[in-house]
Amino acid sequence: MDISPDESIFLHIGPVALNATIVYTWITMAVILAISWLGTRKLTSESKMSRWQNLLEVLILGMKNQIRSISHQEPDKFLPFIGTLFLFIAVSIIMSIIPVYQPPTGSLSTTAALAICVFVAVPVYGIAKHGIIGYLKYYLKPTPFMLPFNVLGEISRTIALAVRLFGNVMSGSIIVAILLSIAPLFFPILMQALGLLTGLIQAYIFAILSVVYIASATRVHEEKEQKFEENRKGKE
Amino acid sequence: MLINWFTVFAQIFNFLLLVFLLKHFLYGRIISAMNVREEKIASRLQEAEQKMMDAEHERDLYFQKNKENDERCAGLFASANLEAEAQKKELIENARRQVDEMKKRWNESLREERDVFLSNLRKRAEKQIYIILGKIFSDLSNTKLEQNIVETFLGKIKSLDHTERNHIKVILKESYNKAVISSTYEIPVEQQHIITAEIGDAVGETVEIRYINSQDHICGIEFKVKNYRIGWNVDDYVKFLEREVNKTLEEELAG
Repeated sequence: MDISPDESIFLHIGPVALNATIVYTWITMAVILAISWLGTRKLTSESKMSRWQNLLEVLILGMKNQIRSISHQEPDKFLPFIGTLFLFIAVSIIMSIIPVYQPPTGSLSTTAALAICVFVAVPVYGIAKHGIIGYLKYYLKPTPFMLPFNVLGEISRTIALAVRLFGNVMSGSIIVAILLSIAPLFFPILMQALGLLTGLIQAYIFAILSVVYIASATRVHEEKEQKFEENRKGKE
Repeated sequence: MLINWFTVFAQIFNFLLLVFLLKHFLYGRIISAMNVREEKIASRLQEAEQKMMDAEHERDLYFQKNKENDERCAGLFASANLEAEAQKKELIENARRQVDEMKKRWNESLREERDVFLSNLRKRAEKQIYIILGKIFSDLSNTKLEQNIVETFLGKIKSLDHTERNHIKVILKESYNKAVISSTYEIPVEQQHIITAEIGDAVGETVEIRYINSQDHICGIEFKVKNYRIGWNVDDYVKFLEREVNKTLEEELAG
């Protein structure tokens, strides 16, 4: 049994090997895009709308509200990134109930890729908000001696993010596989349902933590700068 | 090795591609549709608010107009009342005037009727009295009524005072001592001589008297010289009776 879908190779194109992770990622992407197309092909701004559009509006509105409540900022600029993270992970996990389907989030490569995206997104949003110098000052606070620790904190939380998701999804798949060999009736179904629940919770946690990290790179800096400015003015 | 770096980069690329695609084909479109709907709802709410304000304005206007109408109605009602009152007074006055007029006319007609009645009554009474008196005189004595009338007339001549006699004398001179005695009956010649002699004695001169029979009176005798008259007849009593009846009727009408 393969722990990671990376090891299942579908096709070799020269030196490039198309593994199950990439293929199932494409399938997942196709499903998400298909749902998006279904929901937006008859887009209307009237009160009466299609069920697909209604579903997507509820989903997007829910995500926006969650982002707003956590970041205390306008959610529009974070929505494409955070929303896609959540949708990709959630759809992957939901599709894992299909027997032949292997969720790409069960691959450490995928979770690492997503974590790297978050890792990169944090400074990108921070710099976009405060500029490169303003953002980098954050690593020198409260004292320049904290620079290595701050950098280490950034890297460690990114790794934690990746490993947490991978561990949860992968463990769920493995538990189901093991149970299938031990007790092939009913019990794996329950575990599958439980896995579905924990997987969705993991998708939520991953997205929320991403918001927290990105929001901390924008909002917290701002607050610190405001406090600093207030202190400076007070001294003057 | 759990991490395949080629896969990692491929997944990063896939993820970023998915972000890009969803941003354009999902989030952007859905959010813009939601924004348009929100704007529509907001504009509808604003429109509803505007309509509500318009309606309130209309309502205020309506109330104001209603109030004005009420006030105007009250004014019209009051003026109509006054006009009606004035008209009522005028009508009552007219009616009263008409009633007075009718009453006056009625009184006049009543008076005329009364006059006619009294006139008729007088005539009939005179005749009846004459008959009754004649009957009374004939029943009470054996002399004729005419004889009593002549004696009464002669008594009046005799009882004339000096002034009266002089006055008659002057008048007689003016009419060349000519006089007329009218009576309702034929005076016998003997009595004519007595009367002539008695009048001549009264005035101290011979008087030429012409005796005529007149039906102007009911019963009586009268000596006439120019405008001077002296005599006795039932007319005086009948007139007295008429006056009394008139007086009684006047009192009845006044009552």
